[in-house]
Amino acid sequence: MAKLYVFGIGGTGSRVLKSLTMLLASGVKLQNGFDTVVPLIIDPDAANGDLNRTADILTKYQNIYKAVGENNDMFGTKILTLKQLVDENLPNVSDHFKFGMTNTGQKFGDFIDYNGLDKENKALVDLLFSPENLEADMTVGFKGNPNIGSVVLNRFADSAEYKEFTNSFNPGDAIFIVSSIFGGTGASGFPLLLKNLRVNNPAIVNSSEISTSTIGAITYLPYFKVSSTDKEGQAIDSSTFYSKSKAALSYYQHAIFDKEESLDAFYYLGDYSNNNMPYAEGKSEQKNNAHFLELAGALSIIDFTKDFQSFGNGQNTTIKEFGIEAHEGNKLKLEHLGQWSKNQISVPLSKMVLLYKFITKSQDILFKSKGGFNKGDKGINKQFYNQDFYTVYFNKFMEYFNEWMDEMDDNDVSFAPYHNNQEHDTLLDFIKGKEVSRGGILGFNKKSTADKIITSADKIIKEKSYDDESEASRFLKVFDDVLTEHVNNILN
Amino acid sequence: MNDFIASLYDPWFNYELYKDLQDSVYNAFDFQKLGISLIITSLLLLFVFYKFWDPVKKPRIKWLTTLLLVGVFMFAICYALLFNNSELLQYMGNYSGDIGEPDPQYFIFQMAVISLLYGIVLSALLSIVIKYFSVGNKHNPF
Repeated sequence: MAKLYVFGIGGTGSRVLKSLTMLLASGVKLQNGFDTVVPLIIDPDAANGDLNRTADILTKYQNIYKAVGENNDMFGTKILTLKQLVDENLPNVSDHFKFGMTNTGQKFGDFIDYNGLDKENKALVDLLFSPENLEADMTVGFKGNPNIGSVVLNRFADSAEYKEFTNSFNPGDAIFIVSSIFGGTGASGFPLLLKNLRVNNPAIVNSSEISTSTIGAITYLPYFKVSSTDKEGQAIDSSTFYSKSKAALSYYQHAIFDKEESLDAFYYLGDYSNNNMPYAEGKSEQKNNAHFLELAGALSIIDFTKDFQSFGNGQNTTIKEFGIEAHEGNKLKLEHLGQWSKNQISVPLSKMVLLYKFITKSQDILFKSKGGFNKGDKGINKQFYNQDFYTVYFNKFMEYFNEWMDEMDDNDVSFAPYHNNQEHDTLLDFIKGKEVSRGGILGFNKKSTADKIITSADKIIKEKSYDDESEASRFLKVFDDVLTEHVNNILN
Repeated sequence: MNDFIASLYDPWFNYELYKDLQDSVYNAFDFQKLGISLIITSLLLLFVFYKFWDPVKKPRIKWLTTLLLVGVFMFAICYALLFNNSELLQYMGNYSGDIGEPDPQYFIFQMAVISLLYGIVLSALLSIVIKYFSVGNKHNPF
């Protein structure tokens, strides 16, 4: 079984990794024998809100996976840190997802020892970097300046994490890089990382395997703007996003695509949209709302594993763009996705949404019901809902999931395939365009009640299919089966 | 069976006073009919409750409602049976209201109330077994 190393560079990288985690939690699977994801977040801004939120989500996912075990649809793909590749019993720590280069912790001028340079070199540096660049505080990243990032991030190969990465790499493993082209960290980090990966350096363990491995990447073209009126003297200006993108694309042309065996698959994602993110230069302030394109980016990673066998073999870089069906309005529903995307996410995502709605709207009724699910030795006892698995990991993860869905709904373009006005009795009528009878005025023919979910769960417990499982595993497996049945009924 | 069911109703009455009325019920095999009705009604309604209705929301109240329904059915069945008992009808026709003479109509009402109680008790007891046929009420009432 193979591992997929996913490098998420900068804030966009973190957010795509978050989307990938949500998809894996929902039950979307990597293909072609990939069974493990190794997320690596590269961001000099260690306090970045997006980074820390993603690292927390990944840690919660790991704890859920550990408790429920393998062979599940939901939470069924292994996510490991580099350290855990060496020792799987290491505790799940969010810091372990962060790649080196974090906490550069100084001004760029100090980093290159500007004051210690001789006159000629100072003149050269002055030519390449503005005084603002030299004074830039890198604790918050490169603030849209790839010229700074390209110098700082060139130290990839020196970091301890890079060595752990090369040590753990096996033939058959693959690499995927996520970055944005219009910022600072992503735009500079991607070509540097790729360059380091493709160098066959005998001094580096497994360098030969890594340099010839299959590598895919997403580059995000501008898909959001930053508010220009929030702060004076702001370093990040979205009016430069397109010019920066053009310059970076031009650089990629000769630095990446003109070279053989540089990149096997390349995904372009971008959108003309009017969504404005609040201005933030970094730290905890940079916590942008999730966007549908980040979900599309996560789907690109799934697509990469699907076509994995066809990459390489001396072929040119496969280039793909993401598209959706023609539609009116700016709210996307499941039916607006392409057929492959729809096949991948419709059922898993709907299951996860329904599960969140169920635990928030129907749990009290579940507790009061008299079936086997929440009674008896082989059901789920009420104490289960007070244990760490549920309160610290599962419930919090579901809150993150709901937050992610809500943010995508609020954004432009809005991904809003689900209703959000359900109560227990109308819970199954939750997918837009797939209405389920709410029973009319008299309440007859009510097919949307979540009573059906409880009854189905009781039925599975009665069949004793999961008697040998741990309580956490049984909880997830029962709901997985129940929700698959009901969501398939609604969608088909 | 007639004897057994009669033995369940006898203790509720003053035998000396109600002897004739009880005999009329016994002679027409109405005790046996009541017993069979009791079993069939309880089984039928409990089966409908546990297998078909199998409610998720407010299961305990709905179970109690089912038991009450069995009782009401038994009350009605008892009334129907005893009002078709010709011997009892004769007693009703001959009833003068003298002191020491039992009122046959009141006797029928008493019999119906006892049937209602037995219906509830039997349903509660049968629930212990029939609940295992249920998916969502396997632990109802406990």
